[in-house]
Amino acid sequence: MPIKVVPQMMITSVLVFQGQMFFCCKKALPEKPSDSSDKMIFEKEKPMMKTIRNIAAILTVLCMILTLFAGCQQQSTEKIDIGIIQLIENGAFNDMREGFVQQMKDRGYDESKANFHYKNAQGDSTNLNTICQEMVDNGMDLVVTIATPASQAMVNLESDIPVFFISVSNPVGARIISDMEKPDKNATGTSNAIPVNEIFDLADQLTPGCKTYGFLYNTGEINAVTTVESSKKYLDSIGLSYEEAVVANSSEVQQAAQSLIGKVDAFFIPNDSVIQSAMNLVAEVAREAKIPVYCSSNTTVESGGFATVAISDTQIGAITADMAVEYLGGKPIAEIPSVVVPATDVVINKTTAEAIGADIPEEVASEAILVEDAK
Amino acid sequence: MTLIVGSLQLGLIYGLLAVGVYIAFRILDIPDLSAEGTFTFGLAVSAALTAAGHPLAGVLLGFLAGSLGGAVTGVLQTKLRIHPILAGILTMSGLYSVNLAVMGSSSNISLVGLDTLFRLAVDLLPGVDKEIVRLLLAGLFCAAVVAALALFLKTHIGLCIRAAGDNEDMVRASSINVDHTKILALAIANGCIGLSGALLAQYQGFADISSGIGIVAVGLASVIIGERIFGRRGVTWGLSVTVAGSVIYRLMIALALKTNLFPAYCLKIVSAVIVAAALSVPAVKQMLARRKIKREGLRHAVHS
Repeated sequence: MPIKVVPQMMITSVLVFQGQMFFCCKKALPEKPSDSSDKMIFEKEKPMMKTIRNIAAILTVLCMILTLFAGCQQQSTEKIDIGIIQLIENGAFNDMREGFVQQMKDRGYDESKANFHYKNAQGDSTNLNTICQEMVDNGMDLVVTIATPASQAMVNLESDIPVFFISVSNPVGARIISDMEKPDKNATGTSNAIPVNEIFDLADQLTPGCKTYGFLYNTGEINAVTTVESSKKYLDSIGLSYEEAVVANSSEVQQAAQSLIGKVDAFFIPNDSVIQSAMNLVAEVAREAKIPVYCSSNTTVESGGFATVAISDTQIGAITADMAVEYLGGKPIAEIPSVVVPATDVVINKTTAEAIGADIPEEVASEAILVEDAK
Repeated sequence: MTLIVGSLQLGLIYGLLAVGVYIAFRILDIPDLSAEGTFTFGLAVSAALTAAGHPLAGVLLGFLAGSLGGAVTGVLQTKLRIHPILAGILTMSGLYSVNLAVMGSSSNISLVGLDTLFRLAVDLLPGVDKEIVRLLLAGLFCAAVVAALALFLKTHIGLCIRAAGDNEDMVRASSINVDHTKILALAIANGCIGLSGALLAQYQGFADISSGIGIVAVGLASVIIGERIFGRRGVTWGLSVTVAGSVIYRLMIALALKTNLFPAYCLKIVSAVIVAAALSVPAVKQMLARRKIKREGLRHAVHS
């Protein structure tokens, strides 16, 4: 690939430049007098020379690092290159990614046929743009993006690389595609609209008599905000009331949870990564007050929540993998419609049930997946 | 190639942020932490206006929005005599809610496929490669702002600002209103930061409330990298090398991202190590030279 020659050229030119600098710099230093005993050895260099030497030194170091890494790239042209972009380290996102990779392997795209390049922006959206550009630079065959900001950044680049998004709660609203049935913009994928109606109906079955729900979420996440909006609409339609406590980061979660105690009969946590990361604090507060916590994903239930109707995150990753396999089999992207993945698994946490003294009715327990606190 | 050009584009856009941080930290000598809030404010205003169909107004109002945030910090600091660090933190916290309100209480505005300044520029120059046009637009904004600031800081008011950062008591004794000077300077600095946010929203095609988190560290890193590599030599030089420092920082992050040797979660430590290695080269060279002198000295002492 022609791009490979660039680092080598850069290195050669900088090393030549550096060599020249060292020669020139000898002239830049004034001549040492023969009786050097009381003169300072450190004579003053001309400031311009010093700057150039510093720049040359730093460039050499950088280029040495560049050679090291450029030499280690293995881009074979027979294997498919699949890029995976994740915004932040998070149990749910990790499950989605692993579900995707596992399903690709099960469908035949294992290490012998595909290279998986996984990059994580570590929660820093400034890195997200650079990661997307790097994927384009490396000529990926397809890119998988997890959650909304990563998908938006990748689609906005308008490169020729097809994008498969996992669990974007509102792809049309985020302008990633214009039509779920006929994806344009070279992107398609799965949307995980949380089935709030089913969750509240489940709540009625497990802990009947809850009149007021408390929403605990991070206003900074569009997925969570969308879910809360639809929850409010549903609760209005069945005549229940609600309170909310919002947080901006995980340090505020405990106090927000405590502020709701006494005002609500049950908590509802949407698909929110900030609350998920501080879930054990919420669980502690809620169990003390014997309040059930209804969540939106099974990861949250395993971290101490009470119950949910969820799609497993590995499952949603696997469904996206199926779509990718269809594309790799030759189907054009515009003919692979985006799907809203329905949720079917009822997940109940036994430890929480005991802690708050809730009885799980037999017909629910027989269908449900019972879990305990994740160790 | 996309990665290098893309890093240059990002480096220039964040270069405006670094210039704003430079004015606050180096010229005014004030630790101003409101950059997170004002950056996102500019981002939100620009996204909201671009979604409504006015990209140019979005950029201009993004600058004004940032200035407003900076002015508020200035007032908190000077008139209400709140400590500068706390004043910055208060502005940053307050602006979080304002930003959510501007974005219509959603936390994400999408501009994918809409007319942004970058898209309009690409349409204007059909023969040129799309990425080069975007690079030129970012470069144009950067150059214009740096030139304007360099000229401004040589006017009477500009010199007052520089003096206020250097020796506040002296300036006060010269019967110049230090409070107004600081408020103006903070407004200009945060205006640049808001402008950077405004351009970023149109560049990346979406505005997310979390885009500003940790942005002060990025600005400071760019300022220090620029200074360390190119040296301090005056205000115009300082402004230009700050932009260069931002570009270099972006390239270093691109380098860290390009490596496949480490697992994905090592991104931040790899970029930190690269920056530390690059910045410590002059210090290491000096250490080696000193050691050489010691050895020579010992050798002379033995012989004589």
